[in-house]
Amino acid sequence: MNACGYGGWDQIRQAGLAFVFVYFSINLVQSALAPNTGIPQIINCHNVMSAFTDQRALTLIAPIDPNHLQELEQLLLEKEFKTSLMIMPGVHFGRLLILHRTQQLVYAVNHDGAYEAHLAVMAKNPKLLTVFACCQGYEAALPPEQAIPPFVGQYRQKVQAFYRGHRGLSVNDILQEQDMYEEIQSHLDKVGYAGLPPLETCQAIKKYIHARLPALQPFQAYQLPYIAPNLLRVLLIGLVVLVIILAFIIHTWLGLALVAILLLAVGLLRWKEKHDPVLADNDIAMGNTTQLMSQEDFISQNQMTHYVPLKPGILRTLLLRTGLFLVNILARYSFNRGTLSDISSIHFARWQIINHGKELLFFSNFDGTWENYLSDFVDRASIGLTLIWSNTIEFPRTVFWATAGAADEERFKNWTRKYQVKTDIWYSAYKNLTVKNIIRNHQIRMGLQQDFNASQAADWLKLL
Amino acid sequence: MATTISPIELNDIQGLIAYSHSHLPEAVYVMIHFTDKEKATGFLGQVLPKITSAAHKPIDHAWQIAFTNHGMFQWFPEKQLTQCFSREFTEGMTDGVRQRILGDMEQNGPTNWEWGNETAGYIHAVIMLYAADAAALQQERETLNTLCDAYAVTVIRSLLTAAFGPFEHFGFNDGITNPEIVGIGKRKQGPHSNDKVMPGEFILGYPNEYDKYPFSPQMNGLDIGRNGSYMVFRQLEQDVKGFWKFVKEATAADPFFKGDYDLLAAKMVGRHRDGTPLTPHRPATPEDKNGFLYSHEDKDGQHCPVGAHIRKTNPRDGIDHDPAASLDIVSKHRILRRGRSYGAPLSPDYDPEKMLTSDVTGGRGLFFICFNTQIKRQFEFIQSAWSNSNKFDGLYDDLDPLIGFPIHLRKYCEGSFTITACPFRKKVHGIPQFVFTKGGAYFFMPGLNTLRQMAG
Repeated sequence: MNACGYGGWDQIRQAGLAFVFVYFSINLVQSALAPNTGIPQIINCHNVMSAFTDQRALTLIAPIDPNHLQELEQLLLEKEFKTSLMIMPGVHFGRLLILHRTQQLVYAVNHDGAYEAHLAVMAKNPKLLTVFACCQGYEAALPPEQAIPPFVGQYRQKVQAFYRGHRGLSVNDILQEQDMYEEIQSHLDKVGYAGLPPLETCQAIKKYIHARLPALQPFQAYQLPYIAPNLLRVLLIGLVVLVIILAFIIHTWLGLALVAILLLAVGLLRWKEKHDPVLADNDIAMGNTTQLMSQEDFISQNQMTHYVPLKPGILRTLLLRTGLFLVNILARYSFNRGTLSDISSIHFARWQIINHGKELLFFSNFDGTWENYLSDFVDRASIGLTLIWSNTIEFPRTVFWATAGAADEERFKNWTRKYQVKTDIWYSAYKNLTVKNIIRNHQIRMGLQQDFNASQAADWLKLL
Repeated sequence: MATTISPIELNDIQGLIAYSHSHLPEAVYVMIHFTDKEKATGFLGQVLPKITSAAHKPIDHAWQIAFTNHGMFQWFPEKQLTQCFSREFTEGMTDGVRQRILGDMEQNGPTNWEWGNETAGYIHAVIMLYAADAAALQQERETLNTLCDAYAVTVIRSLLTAAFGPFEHFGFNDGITNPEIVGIGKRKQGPHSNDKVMPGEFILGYPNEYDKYPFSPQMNGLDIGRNGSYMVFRQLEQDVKGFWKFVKEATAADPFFKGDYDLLAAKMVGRHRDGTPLTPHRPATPEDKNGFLYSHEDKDGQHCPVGAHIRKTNPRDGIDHDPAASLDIVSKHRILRRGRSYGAPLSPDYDPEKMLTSDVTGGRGLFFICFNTQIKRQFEFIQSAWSNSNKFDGLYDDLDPLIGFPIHLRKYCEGSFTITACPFRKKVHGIPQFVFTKGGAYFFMPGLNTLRQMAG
């Protein structure tokens, strides 16, 4: 880890820090304004190369027409209808569910490319249109390409925080790279290359793959902007200090007032933390858990839809929004190398505040079992998720907003199960691939187009 | 962990949780069914004085008792509990969802079990008898039989173990790695960095690795769980000939192995047959076979493959790229193993060639027994997230080559096994199933105070 302590050792460093600080502050503000839209770093300008494809999140929450609720519920139970409903070009993961308490339909996808392009894809999916026809505000009488944009536009939900585990790769890239991996594997099982040095072995494999998979184009390397998590922490603390100093510069009373407000808020938070009800020891959400578990572990990945009311009060709303803002910044600039706070099993995760700021809705698509995922949460990301969920009801007791909380492991897991809801339909475009597999396949692919020396060749061979 | 732990109440804890009774090599596990609560209470009153606590080392014999959910609910009805038993225990091992987690499907499915399923009859409790020799064991069995007759207790099955020894049936030195409970005695082999585990991981009533007290069942203000532990019991049958036949055939004509089947077997397990780990190790004592970690000398698995059995079930510091974080995480997924083998070995010296041509008949395997306070985070986690996951730590399709069963496929699907090598990996395909579930149940082993309450 890069420990970026204040050594005060040289002015250049400080000046550099200041520059970085200002530069990224601008970025932070930008992304806060438009968290939904990724900034492609490389724009594909020639046809022969594959390149960075940004993945976007679309959440749609539409009220269900009460007259059609039963029909919709029936529809989502029909096996034949369900199986192919969410299969759409460019969609990584998709889910569809009914929020029963509020009678709303949730449609959520992680898709490649532009929003408008995905709207066109939706319009070509007749089953989806049948589902939408059960909602209020969908003009089924219009041609789909005219009915979809205003409908989605009206009910599109702002996503407050969004994490991507393998950003830059389209569904197509991922599937193509898995084909490549399998080709290499079956080749290696057949050939011995006995006694051949690494470099020559490597060249032989590359030659075989190039001949075998001519359609696999070179991939243009891309680099996402990156800020070390510790540096980001320093920047954020610096930002708060800066605001306070600025207030004092403007007027002493302004500064004092600001400090007083902060202290009051901290005091109020501590009081609330001591008095807010937490999940009872014996609340183990037995029935809900059993129902949820019956849907799990059918493919290499699992999913979670979590839906919980906020605690009352403006302070909680403020803290939640700040928490989500921070997590979004972290997910975008610090955790964009395949791990979210060292958790390497999340393909996509997103948080959205819905229903007039009253509830927090969370989606996740992850590798492995639920228990593994939640344990990772507790062991590796306890602070980050406590920042967010401590502001929702019955969350385990916290200390100063971000500590304790999720570290109360058994209670936290029971709490998660209690507010997890059934996902009626869930789709994955690559059911048998983990984040680690996808990233490794991509590394192998990038190696195919590079010229190696002997030691690089040996390293590349280790990836196989 | 910074917590100071209150002294462990050894006189209230059943002995098997603290010690494996290795000096009592003969054992039998008697699965029983009660007729009604009144008779059961009388029976318990007679058994109670015989139960061995952890405070004294038994000289000649030991008795332990544990209850299934059906058994426990006779005394503590689910509806009257102010705090429940864990969900896994309450639902039981044969619950539909659990079958997928554990890989108890197809041949492993409860319908094919010899006990622990509906057909064989509901088990209420297990009495575990340990003795210094066969004659002493016979005497204890007779005492138990008399009690069973007197209180109309049905014996559903008696599971006799093989004499306790260092080798399991495939022929590997077993039982080398077992965590040391912080606050309870020292073990012979020097403790290693990942070997000391907080008592709350294994005994209810003490802080666990999260510095929290595990949830414990309560009724009428009584902490029923205190000084008790959840006990996982599974009968795992081993196809020993199948195992050695497979490694011989897979290596015979392969230029990578050049017929060295012992090498493939060792790679699959992660240790040589005598227990020496493949990863370079620094023994604390000459006998120590546990002094090793993965991150420095064996990160990529060039010695012990990432998918090897001992690495999947205890990855030590090897997960991802932060050894300290890995150790910390792994400490939350440990179990106390107390199982014993059953059935006659194919050859007394466990020589693979002799075992392959042996004509010794009958089934053989392991009565897998382990203690933990959160079945889902400990036993089930190791089984599902590590052993049964072909995607463990960046792998593509590697089950635990010994005990793995693919969780998501619902039928056994021959997995592959990857051996890190130069210039590139060696994959072994088509690994069949070697271990089969033949029975099992989740038990709760209460503390002696709770037993006294139950006995009236």
